[in-house]
Amino acid sequence: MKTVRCVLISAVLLPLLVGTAFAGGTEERAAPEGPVEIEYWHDWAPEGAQGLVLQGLADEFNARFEGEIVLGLVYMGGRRDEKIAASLAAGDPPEVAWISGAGQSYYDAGVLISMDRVYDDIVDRADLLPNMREPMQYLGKDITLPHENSNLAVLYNRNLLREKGIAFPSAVIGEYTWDDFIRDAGAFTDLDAPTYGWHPRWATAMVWARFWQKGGQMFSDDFRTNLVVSDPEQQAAMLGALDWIDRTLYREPITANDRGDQSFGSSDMPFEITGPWALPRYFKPIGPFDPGDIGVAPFPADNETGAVVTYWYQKALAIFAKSERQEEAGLEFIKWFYSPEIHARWCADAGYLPVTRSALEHPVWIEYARANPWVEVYIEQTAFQQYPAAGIPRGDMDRMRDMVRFREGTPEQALRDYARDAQDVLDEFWATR
Amino acid sequence: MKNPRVKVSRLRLTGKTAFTEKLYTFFLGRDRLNRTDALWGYAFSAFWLGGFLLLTVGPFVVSLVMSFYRWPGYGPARFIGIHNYEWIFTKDRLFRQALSVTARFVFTAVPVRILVAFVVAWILSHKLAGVTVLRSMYYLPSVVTGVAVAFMWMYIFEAQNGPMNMLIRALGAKQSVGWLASPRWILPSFIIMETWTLGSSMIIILAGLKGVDRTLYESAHIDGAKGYHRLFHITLPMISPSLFYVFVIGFISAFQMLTMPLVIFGTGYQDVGGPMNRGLFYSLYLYNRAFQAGRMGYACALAWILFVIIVSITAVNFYFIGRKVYYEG
Repeated sequence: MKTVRCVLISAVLLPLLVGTAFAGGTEERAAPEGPVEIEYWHDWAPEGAQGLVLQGLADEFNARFEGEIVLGLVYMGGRRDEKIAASLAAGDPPEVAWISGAGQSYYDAGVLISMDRVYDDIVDRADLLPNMREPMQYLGKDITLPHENSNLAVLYNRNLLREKGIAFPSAVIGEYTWDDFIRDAGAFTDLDAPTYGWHPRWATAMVWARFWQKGGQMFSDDFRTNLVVSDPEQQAAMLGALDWIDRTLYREPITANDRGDQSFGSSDMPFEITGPWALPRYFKPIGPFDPGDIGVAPFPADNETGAVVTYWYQKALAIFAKSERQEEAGLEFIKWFYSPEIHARWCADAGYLPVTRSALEHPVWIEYARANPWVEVYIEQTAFQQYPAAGIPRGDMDRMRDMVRFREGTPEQALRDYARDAQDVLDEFWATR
Repeated sequence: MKNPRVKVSRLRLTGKTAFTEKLYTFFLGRDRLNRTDALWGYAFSAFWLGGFLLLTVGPFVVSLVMSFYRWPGYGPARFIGIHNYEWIFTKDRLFRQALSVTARFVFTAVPVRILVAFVVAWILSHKLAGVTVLRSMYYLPSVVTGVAVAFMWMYIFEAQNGPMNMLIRALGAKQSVGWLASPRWILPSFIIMETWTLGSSMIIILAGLKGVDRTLYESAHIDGAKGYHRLFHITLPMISPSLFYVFVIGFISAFQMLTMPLVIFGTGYQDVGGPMNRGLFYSLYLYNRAFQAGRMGYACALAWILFVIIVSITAVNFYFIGRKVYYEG
């Protein structure tokens, strides 16, 4: 009898455990007859300038679609890849997510919706500014949607430059060179203090930009060969970029003003090289500057080649495959978000550049650009911006940069180390497609 | 007088095949008297056993299988044979870097931690004023969650206004040290952090010290043994089981170091393991491959390699050091 009881208890407990393990899940978050709940996962701190703008837009969307769609914002807190991967593994990804890069791993896994659906019905291909789609393509296919446009330019503190008697950088693209910049930043460098005139917060992006300015091209046209590994011309271009790090980048010792945007924001450092998204941080809602305190100059040009290439921060919106109702609701949000007025308002308030012509020509953006002339520099630079190939492995660029930056080796050694494994990484990428 | 339970039990098993009898013997033991108790044991542990099978053995087996696949952790998987292992051992420079960083950390931090824990435990084994409070204070860091500890040390090691750099400057240094921002200082910083959480090791060693028979010291004293004689010939041999336990557990946990480097380097725009990847601990690299690079299959292969390394080193520890441990009685 006891044995029977034991078996019965086990028979009850084990299914309970198994049931618990597989409970929860993938069913729709809303009953079929109620409003559809969708989520937009983003990476702007809710209390920051962009986060507040996005929350305002979400509230507006929810009011507009009351009773039909409920949009929830989820802040990923800098851990985009992990959180999205976990949601995909659980079978319940967000409807839309803001990602950096093209999202090729999502495409490879077949978890994105076909972009044909978006470009046929939601966003007009012809309305996108030239080349906006390219960074969102992977091996020739559209996989995500461009979210906003931005590139790098020089922000300078007018008051600090005036105090030192240094002329403001030229606003004409191509006139202000890296030699000029290093000279100006160097005037604020005091290694006894120690303080430095500039902190390269976006260092890897600037290595790319300098590489391109030197005429560099990382990959062959078919993306099968890393040219920096074997092509002497490309190696020379990379060495030029690395040599520039050696001459200009901040390195040890730790200086009194090494915190990049914070140091610039507190007038401890005269220069910052960053995108247009940084300006709302300084101007509003709690920024310390009057817009008149800050000037914006184009990204410095190469001294030798005169090239003015700047780095293009391509950010994408990934749209995940879900139930039909959720996908439809997600696409409804995208249609609303990319409408000329809303997209113009998002970009103007958050400090980005629009990706569509209709937004760029919308009165909201025109008024914004008139009131904030600094944005003109970024808009003009869009003709000179480049991006690294989406989804293609690039080897360990950071390590190469740091080896020079921390003087752990010469630029030649750093390049040799990089070349040692860069082609292997690329070969593996193709071998495991 | 015959036991009626035996009769019932024998009757119940009468007619079973030899195979079933072997199965019964395997799971329930030879002693038929205790078989019902064994069944009850299984019933009460069924919930745990189920969890163990589902949540430990299951993932264990799945991870081994997935290490032969290209799989991002979701969506379809593609069988690629031993490619992951081949790549790890022949081409993956970051694997070698992670192994090197972890090995240097393990072989430095664990001995340093045990040494400091022993010294602290030895001091706290004496009858000092407020010794109970001191013991609690030393143990306290061990109960603080790793994330909080990491944030605290990030503040302490902050490049400019962190207490450590303020102290260094107050002592006359002109320049601050980039503790977590400089390739040269990352590993020493982590060794300091690891040593700070010595509470659990200290408590185990302290318990060992308190358990040493006082008469041994008295006898040695009468025989004229000096302090270092007592240390090397009485104290260390007598607490060797505690030291060995701390040593083995310390090795295993140090190889699995993840929380602190993940919190410190896991966000931002630096390399995954800090400047020059000098803080690329093995588990951090594994985490990066699994969840940031979308290479779950590759991460499974890395996890199995780590498992083999830890098992091998533990076996070596048992073989070479475990034999020298003195177990009283």
